[in-house]
Amino acid sequence: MDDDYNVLSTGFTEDDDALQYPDDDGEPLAVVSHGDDENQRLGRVRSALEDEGCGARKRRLNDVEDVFDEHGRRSHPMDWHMRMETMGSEVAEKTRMNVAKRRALECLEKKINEVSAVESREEDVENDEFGREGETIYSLCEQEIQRRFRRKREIMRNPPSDGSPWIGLSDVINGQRFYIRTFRPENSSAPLIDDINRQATQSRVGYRAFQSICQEAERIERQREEARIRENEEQFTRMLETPSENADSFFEEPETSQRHQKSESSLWINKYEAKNFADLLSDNSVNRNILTWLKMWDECVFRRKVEDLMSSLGEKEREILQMDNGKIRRPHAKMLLISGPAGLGKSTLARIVARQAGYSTIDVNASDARTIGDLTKVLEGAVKTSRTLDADQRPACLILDEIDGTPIDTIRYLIKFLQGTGKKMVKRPIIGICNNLYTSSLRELRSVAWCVQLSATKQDVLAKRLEQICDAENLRCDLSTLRKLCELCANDMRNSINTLQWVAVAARKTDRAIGMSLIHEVIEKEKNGAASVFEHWSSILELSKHADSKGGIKSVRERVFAIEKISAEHGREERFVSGLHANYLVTLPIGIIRKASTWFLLYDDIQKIINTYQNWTVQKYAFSFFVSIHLNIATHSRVSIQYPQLDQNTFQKTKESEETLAAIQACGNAGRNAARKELVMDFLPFIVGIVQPPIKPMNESLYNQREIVTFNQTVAIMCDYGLTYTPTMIKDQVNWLFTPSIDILTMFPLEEPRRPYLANAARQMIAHKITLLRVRLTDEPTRSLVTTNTDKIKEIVELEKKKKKRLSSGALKRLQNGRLADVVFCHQDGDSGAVKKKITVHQLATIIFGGDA
Amino acid sequence: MALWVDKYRPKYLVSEKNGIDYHLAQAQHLKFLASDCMPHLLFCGPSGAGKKTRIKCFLRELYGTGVDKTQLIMKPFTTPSNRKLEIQTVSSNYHVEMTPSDMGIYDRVVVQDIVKEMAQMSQIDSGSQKSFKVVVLCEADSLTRDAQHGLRRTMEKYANNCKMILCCESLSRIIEPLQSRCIVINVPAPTDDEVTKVLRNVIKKEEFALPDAVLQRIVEKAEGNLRRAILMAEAIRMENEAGVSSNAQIPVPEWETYLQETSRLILLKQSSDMLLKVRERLYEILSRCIPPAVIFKVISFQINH
Repeated sequence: MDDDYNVLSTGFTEDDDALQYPDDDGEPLAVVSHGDDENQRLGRVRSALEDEGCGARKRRLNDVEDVFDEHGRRSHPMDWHMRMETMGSEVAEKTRMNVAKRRALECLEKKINEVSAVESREEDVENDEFGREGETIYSLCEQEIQRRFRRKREIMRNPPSDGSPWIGLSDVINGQRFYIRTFRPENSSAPLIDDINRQATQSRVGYRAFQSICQEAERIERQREEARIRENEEQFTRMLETPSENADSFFEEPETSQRHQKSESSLWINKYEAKNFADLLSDNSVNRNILTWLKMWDECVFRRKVEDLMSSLGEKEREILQMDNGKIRRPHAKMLLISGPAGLGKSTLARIVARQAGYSTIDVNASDARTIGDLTKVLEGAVKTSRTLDADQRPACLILDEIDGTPIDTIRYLIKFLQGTGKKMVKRPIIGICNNLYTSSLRELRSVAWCVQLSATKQDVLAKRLEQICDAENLRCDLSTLRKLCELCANDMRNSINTLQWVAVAARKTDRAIGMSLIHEVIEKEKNGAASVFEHWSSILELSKHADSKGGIKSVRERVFAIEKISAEHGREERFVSGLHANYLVTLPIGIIRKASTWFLLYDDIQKIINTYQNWTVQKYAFSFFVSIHLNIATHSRVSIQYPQLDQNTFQKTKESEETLAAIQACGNAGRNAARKELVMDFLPFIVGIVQPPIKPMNESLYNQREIVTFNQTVAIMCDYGLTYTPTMIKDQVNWLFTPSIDILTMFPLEEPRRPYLANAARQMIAHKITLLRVRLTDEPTRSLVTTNTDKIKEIVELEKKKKKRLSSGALKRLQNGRLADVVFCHQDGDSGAVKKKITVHQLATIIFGGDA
Repeated sequence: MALWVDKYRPKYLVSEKNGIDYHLAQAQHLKFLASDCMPHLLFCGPSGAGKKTRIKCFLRELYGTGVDKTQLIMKPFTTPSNRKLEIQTVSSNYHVEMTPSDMGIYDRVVVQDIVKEMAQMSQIDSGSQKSFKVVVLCEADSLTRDAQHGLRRTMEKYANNCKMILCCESLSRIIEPLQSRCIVINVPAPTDDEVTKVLRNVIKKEEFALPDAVLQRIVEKAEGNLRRAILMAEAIRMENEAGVSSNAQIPVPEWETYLQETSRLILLKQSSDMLLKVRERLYEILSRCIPPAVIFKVISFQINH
């Protein structure tokens, strides 16, 4: 391996096996189960080692014990990456127990031997057979204990697949089901029992003593186990299957750490932030895919073989998550781009997954300067260097938060950086986080990185989390209210937790139960100072808001003043007006609506004047719009007011459409010649039809002549416009969709659409063909390149060089006496224009030196 | 193998084989302009009439086939508010093509910075080629007034180095001073007969049979938009593998159908509920980047008929 192969110094580097499995030598704490034979063998080896007093194994044992500090956290430099942090205390306990057990057994063995020795003297049995027997009993004890430890009950989410018996249990609280593995089936231990029985006939006393002690030990063990199960029941509900090899290592006790932090942070959003992988609320499969991607870096970062990660992935992920075939294999996509709406926990997700995979994280967000220079520093420091002198000696994983605000130059630089090879290659994973994947500055990054779009948190999950928080904070609040709260916060995790905290504060102050009205109150206050924007909207649209003390409606004069005040007070006028626009269409006669809409036109005109000419003097007339709207359409009935989302969504969608168009213009040969308008109005709607002719999804070689022509034409057209199909998972099904998604751009929700649709198999074939065609096109770039002046100069220089080379390609060496006969001709490798032909030396000289030689 | 529209696009202004199919007198005139000292040009005409095709042919006449080797270049520029933006340009050795109006209100900066910079640089090797280069500005009618004013001086001052070709749909939105600096080339939409002729040509070359009735309907549907007519013909060909029957349905872009449905809804009932529904649909259309002018045009046409 070369020097820059980046491994952290572990102290065991000279021994590769030790590096990979430090506890592989049959230690009881190894969770990997071995065959019984091997255990026996290893047990013997170990006992032999112990007898000799060889320090190696003992030191290892001590090492392992030292790994845990008082919190059960693993801190040893060698081991930290081998297992998840989460296993901590349990393993420590196990190790301690094992040591104690072994000591007890050794004592037991000694006693048995003593007793046997006495017996043997009394019963006068052959001495030499005895020695052997003592040994067998020892190994039997070992075996028995090994078996008991290894086949300890394990708790799983799925029934054990190895055929051992299990008991199913349901969790009453969460409705989840767990499976507990019971002891190995009898038949596997039957020979053992036979063996023991056979031994017993030879040495009854020894066996009996052993059996009774074993039973006792088993009873104690069982009691402890049950106590633990009861104790950990809360943990199990949140348990997850870690994708690591340590299948049962996630019984973690975060209570200590959580209790620790409760006193520290007063904001719930920090207090109840997800602390480990199991706490994450985002979709489990997504989390796991991201973790898989990080694990794929193991070979590069930890110099550890990457096992078959693919088996746990779906077909689509397998397509995306591939290793490249460099010397040090890394995942194909060097960067991960997580996108999703605000308050989803993207940053938390990235941090936790990185930690889970054994990295320390370096955060770069919008608060840091992000010019190329700054980025270089960070990248050099975090991603390129092999060793980090961090406190816990973890390698760094760079997280570029809020990447959508980064200047485009920086993004370009990042892309170039990601594509570096050799010495310059990226050796650490980089995770980017953004809100909007379709920001134009991210366009190029999108094609390089693996993009993961997180969807909004599911309401049920979020509400359940809120309920947990309520439980922890001793709040009384039912699930339906929490659900409503989630809805009000648009399932924004951060927002909802924050709101819940303020609701709790308000409830404590006013001594009220938490109900919908209180939540509304808090949300409104939070959003808009004293009175909410909803209040303002309804006071414009409803007359009942202007009732005086007697219940009558106030006079027009008073109402006008009130509304003028509102129009002057409210902030964010744009949103305010769009809210009015979204809500004014109550059941009114069309004539009134028409009148109201003319007032909207007036407002639009005013805004146009302000924005176009920066003429703010007309702003003072804006209030007339609000007043007129009120006077025209205010009703006595209650108006259910909704937050204006439509235009925001439209804006978002427009951005996406523009990005699609830009992508077509950017990558297609033909697309770049067409204007956007032409593309969207003429080309694309027809292309969607044209490239989806009725192609039969079968092997290409089975097509007849006409079908081949159609197929090839489809491929050519798609290639011209930079289109292809990519596999996308929709509802557990892989669909091959257009990329860029022109079908979304051109297909409207028609009542009776008449659309061509190509089978997935055919799409896959076409996509494959397109990839091939593109590779071929990039292989011959000279034709499509523009010849600029500099290119021409380069070409000429190149040509001159070639000429010179040709002259020197065959070097003629004369011997000292100058006889032409002793010419040595060195043929230079790589000149391939050679023709075999018999010539005289004279002729050769003329060829090389020209005719005059 | 490409789209028929791209495949059968005329390559030369005047030629037996690959020449322009209609407005032949105009083509001759363009050829004359190209051979002489070229003035600034302003192409105007409806979509699908062949403005771009003529510009391409004209450039080829000027510089030869070198203009076909184009490259996509992103040109960065900084707005007065220090935002860094990029505009996409398609350029060959001889010409640069761009759409400044893509940049919205920043088109003025594009004109003042990028276009001016390009105009200022003269051709290096003026012996072997023309002494000027050409800047093609597409969708000139959606340039803001500021941008158009910004063009005025540049066009005059650097006329020796750089000739402009503006391309627009409607002359009315181009300010007078610009119009007077250019020679206006009007490219009206082809007549139905001309469209039919071109379509027949294409069909003959592709060797496929299209019934006359269908052809007639395509020409009607296309409304003088030749691009759309050819695309329709190809779509119908691809859809009907076995052969086109005389009553085959002509594919229409979905945005048009959607707009028609919308205007039908408008006529159906005038109430606040319907208004909401229509509003939603309009948002939907706008989000797919259909220009608002087109939406207005189609809907008002549908409502009046």
